[in-house]
Amino acid sequence: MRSKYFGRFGGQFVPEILMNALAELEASYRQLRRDRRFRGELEDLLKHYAGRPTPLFHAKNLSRALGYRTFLKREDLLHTGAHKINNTLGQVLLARHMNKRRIVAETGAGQHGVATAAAAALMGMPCVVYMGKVDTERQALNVYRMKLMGAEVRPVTSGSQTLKDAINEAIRDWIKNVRDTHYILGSVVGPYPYPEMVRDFQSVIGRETRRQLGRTPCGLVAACVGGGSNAMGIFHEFIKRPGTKLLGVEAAGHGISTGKHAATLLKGTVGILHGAKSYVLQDRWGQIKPDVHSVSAGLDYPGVGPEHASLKDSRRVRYVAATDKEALHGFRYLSEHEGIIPALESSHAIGYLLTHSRIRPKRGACVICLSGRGDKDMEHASRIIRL
Amino acid sequence: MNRLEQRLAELKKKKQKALALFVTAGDPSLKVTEQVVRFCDRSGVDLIEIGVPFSDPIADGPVIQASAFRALEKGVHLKQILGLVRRLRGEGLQIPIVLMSSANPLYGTGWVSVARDLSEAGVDGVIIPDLPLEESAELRRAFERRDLVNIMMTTPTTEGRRRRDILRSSRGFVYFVALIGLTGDRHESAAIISRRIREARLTATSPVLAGFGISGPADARAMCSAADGVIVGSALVQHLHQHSPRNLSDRSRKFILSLLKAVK
Ligand SMILES: Cc1ncc(COP(=O)(O)O)c(C=O)c1O
Repeated sequence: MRSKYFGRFGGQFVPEILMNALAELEASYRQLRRDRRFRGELEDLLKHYAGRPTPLFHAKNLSRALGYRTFLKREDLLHTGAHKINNTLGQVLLARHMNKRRIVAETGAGQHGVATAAAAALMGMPCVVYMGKVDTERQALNVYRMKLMGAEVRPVTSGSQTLKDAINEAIRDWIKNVRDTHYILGSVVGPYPYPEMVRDFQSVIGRETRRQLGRTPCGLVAACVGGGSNAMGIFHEFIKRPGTKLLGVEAAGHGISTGKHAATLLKGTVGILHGAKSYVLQDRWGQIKPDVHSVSAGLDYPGVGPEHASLKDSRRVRYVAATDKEALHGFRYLSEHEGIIPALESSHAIGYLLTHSRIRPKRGACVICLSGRGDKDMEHASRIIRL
Repeated sequence: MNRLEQRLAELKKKKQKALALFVTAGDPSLKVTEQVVRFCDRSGVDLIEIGVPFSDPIADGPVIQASAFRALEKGVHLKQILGLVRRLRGEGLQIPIVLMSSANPLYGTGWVSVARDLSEAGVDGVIIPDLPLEESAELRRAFERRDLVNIMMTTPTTEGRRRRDILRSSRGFVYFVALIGLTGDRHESAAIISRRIREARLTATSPVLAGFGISGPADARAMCSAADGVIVGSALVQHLHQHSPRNLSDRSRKFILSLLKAVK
């Protein structure tokens, strides 16, 4: 039997009623990922529907500012605007194979919700997306996009009305409708097999990157970390290559000593949230912190994937955090100097490197995962940045 | 044998069914929680399950979730709950008490220290809905040493070796989730449930109590024909919320007594 843990993190902390569903999911996934037809179908969709492979762009102006050769892995150019579609296409095919007729998902910024709605529309499956009420207001445009693609968006009014509460509701829906419903989780979080499965679906990012780099050695890979899926997606290929430094950038919000941040790996303690043991932002009574904050809705989460927790303990990945201000700096810089408007989430990785010159590749190039585009953030940004 | 196991063994000898009641600690208030516990002790309820509020429960239905949020707003957490139990035990309160909690608010410093704290306060065991068999080995070791029980849940869809292992390793009793779904909705067909409960009793080493979705005396009586007893949760929580905002009201007392009458 394969371990359901990454080091001491992970596991399946779910109600008994879901244990069957998780076992079924694991078995189907194990079978399918070796299945040539499934792989062919997924590859075809990734290529012709989502737009893979994505370019690896040598950002010369950014390179000059950083003082080392830097490439951007352009996940922002994917259909629906972020890396999330890599995972939702895989999972929706899996759902169809398991004869699940209905899809549920959670979403924070709305990117995963949009990517799920698109995949479900493509397959002709009904789709319900849970989204914190606060987020439905912050990301109204994405709500409209989901609805246009036929998804039902259910605003969640419990708790802090953000991503964590949307996950709670999605899990509850899944429990109630487990016979005919598949839950498409959007990051490398949740009970096993989700962290491994979502990572596998996203690991196409790192595989492509390495192929595209050709002979150029890769000295540093940087990615933002919310739940951690774009980061695991690009890291996975490089984990066994000691020459490549890996940098995960969390959201420091107003600053990691203010309490208003989402730096789970840096400031969290070990706990059990959404079905897995990992680092969690919680108070001394084990209540999840309600005042988690980031300028980007997609990083605004008090948990983090268990594999990241394990990579932190083993020190294979270095985790740091960028403040709202640093992220906004990255956001503006890339817009002004490369003509690429990044998502606020991805801007954390760029902003961090721009403001911290001590971290750099020893040899070879740096690759930054540009996990998404900034279109969804225009309204929010225009209120913060006066031009 | 601990206090809960003793009580259930006595019932078995007398061929009586068990009634277990669930209340969220601190909703409507810790005072009402205390009054419910005392009243249950006096009137012959067999077990109180005290719910530890959690900010992010995934296993609770809407009624208990809302109740937990109200309690959290009052700042109720594990420390006060253990304080309450310790004080009541000091006064000689005999009714078995278990905590029902999501894993996280208990887990804090690890299961060994949890076992010590619970045992010192006079709690008899736990039910942790998001701690399935596979994740519970460490807790069970720590609890055995303190003679605390870990009550595990089984569902109509739990099958094969897992089912047998759960039925054999749950101490105190086996919590049979008598619904497909969450607290208080969507009934699995009653006949199938009854059959599954009877089957479970053949394998289980402890009594099998059925819970989830039992809305009143009629449901409780019906469920007792198959199970060794019943657990009433959401229905009581809702009753207290509506009818006992400041003190345990006569109306809520009568509701509890009507459940007792239906079961005994
Ligand atoms: C563009 C983008 N990047 C990153 C994230 C964070 O998720 P993860 O850490 O799983 O990649 C999100 C989440 O909404 C996102 O939309």
